[in-house]
Amino acid sequence: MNGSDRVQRDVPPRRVTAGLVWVLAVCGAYVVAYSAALVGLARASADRLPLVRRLLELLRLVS
Amino acid sequence: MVAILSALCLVLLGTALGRRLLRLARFRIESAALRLSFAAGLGLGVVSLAVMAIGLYGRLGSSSVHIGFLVVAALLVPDLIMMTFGAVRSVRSAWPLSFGWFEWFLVTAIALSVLSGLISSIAPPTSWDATVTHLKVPHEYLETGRIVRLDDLHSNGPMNGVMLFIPAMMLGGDTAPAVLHLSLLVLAGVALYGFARQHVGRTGSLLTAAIYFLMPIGAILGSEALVDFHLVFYLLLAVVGLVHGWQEDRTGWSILGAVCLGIALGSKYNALYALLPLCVGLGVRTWQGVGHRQRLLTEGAGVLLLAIVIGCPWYVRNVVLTGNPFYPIFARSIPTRHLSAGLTGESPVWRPPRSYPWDALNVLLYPVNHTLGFSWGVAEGPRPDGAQNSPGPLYLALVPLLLIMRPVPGWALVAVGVAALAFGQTVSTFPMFRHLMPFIVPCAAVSGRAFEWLDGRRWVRITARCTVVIVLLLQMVPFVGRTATRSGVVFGAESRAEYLRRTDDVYPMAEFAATRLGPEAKLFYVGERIYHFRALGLNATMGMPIRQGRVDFPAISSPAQLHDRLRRLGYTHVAVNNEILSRQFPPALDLIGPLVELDKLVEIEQIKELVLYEIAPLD
Repeated sequence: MNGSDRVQRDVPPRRVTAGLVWVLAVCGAYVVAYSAALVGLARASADRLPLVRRLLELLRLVS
Repeated sequence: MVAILSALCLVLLGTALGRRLLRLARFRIESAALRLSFAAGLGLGVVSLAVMAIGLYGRLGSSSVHIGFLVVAALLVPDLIMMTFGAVRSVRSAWPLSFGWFEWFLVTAIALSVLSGLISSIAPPTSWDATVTHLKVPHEYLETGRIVRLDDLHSNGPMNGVMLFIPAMMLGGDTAPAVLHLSLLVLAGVALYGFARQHVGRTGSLLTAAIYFLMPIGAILGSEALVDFHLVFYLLLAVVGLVHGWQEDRTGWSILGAVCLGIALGSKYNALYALLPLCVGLGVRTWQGVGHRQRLLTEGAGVLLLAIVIGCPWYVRNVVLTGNPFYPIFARSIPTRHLSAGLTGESPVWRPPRSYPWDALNVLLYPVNHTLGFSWGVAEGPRPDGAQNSPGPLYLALVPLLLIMRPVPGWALVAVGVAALAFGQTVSTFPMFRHLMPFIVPCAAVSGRAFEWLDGRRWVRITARCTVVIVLLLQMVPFVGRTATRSGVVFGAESRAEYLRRTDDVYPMAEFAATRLGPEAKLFYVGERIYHFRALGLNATMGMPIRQGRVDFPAISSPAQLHDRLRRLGYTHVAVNNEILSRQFPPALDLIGPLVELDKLVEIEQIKELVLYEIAPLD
């Protein structure tokens, strides 16, 4: 038996809002932290990886 | 292409064998995804145990054994044909797919991640673990035709996963193990989807699979010749089997779960963490099951015993070789005869400094760090690899919703309990995420269920789905980056040697040494990534690797003693990574440095960080 029919549909709105706020907070923090970390990693490996170097140069040109 | 075909052959024949065994046991699994993954798990487990037995018997290179394997493969062809027809029938019955935009996005993202992994896995091996042990061990076993004692710390753990690499390397060279590892990642994803589909709707199940397939750590580990996803696969099957066994009261499921747990125990020491959740689960079930306690206890003890029997051969081998079944761990508590170049028996085990009660903060720091990708603990600072070793944010974003969801399903509590108990056992050491990954992966199904709970009202649905899309797109970056850096060598724009010279720290020196040194040379590599030296035909030994240096170097009290030992053991050359040694084990340099000054070690060449020395003869 598949579980979709077991999901309770009459969920209290406050709980749903609280859940959504939590999801947005964690995902938002991740997007900021992970993007910063990826840029840092790209910079660190730019001398080894020509493609990354070109991408960083392109980003510099755009900004 | 040969690597892909050989890994595919192995997986298909393993699955056909598992299917035959399940049919012989008259055990029926309703879910097509679970049927496929359990058949593959069972069949590949049997293959790995068979290779181990043949290796211990010393017949890895025997043509009669190879013919025997071919005969077994030929006998499995009818199962393979039936299996293919079954798969086509399942797809046709599910067609046409009535997916919305979100479901199509998830399916596309999963497909792209697998395609990216496939491209990356065909590139020549450069990862640390693969070149230290997972390729080096099968290479040495194939050279000698048997499972032999290897005198280094990395080559004596449980090795069911590595056993599968032996036929893969024989058929498809040293890139085939990485493709095989990727296949196990995919099979674990199929098992996870099948598990989720039994409890969660289609969208939630697809999200479960997407959370798993798009873990940034999956991009890094999935396409390498490692055994991490081997462990993920078997522990997931064990959890699914035991949950089914306990929920449906079918002994067959419990036996299947125990077999998978046993194969996991024989694959990596981390699987030992699963024994605590198993015992706790057994205790809870026994406490709940009034009137059936004796039967539950008997069945639970049977599960435990069967798992230990299947998993124990490698541990028995360690007892025979060293006296310590968990070698090289627990060397302080268990009397151990160390396998080391010095064979000293001295083992001053290095441990990171601890400062309780502050280390208890790891309980909070660990999930936050690994979710956000900092890899930052109390005992260590920020690490640049933290971003890539992240499981992604959707575990931490969705699993805690269990606290406000009603009703809370029992299987979700089991999945979270398994993760929490494994986490509780390791938190003080702030382990890398990959050490806990096998226990956290089942929580992706909990995330799928929590997402469905959230996915009700229109505005909430749109917000949640858009957030998931943004996050998953960001998680695809490491997949894209890895594919881009490896596509040149995969599609023939760059040769294997050019690629390895550019990306690998050890290969250029190995290539130089292989061309410069004669066949009589015996190289002593003071480092760990020895595979390239051996693959290029050098008689090279990882005699005092950096970690093992903690065992061996304290046994050598002076540079003269080191020189004497090297020469008496027949070594003619030494390759050293001075920079790594100065960072990780300075005492080694205190022994090597004076030998260079006294011209007992004569520098021949420095390439990247490695220096090659010739050892002067004894006076």
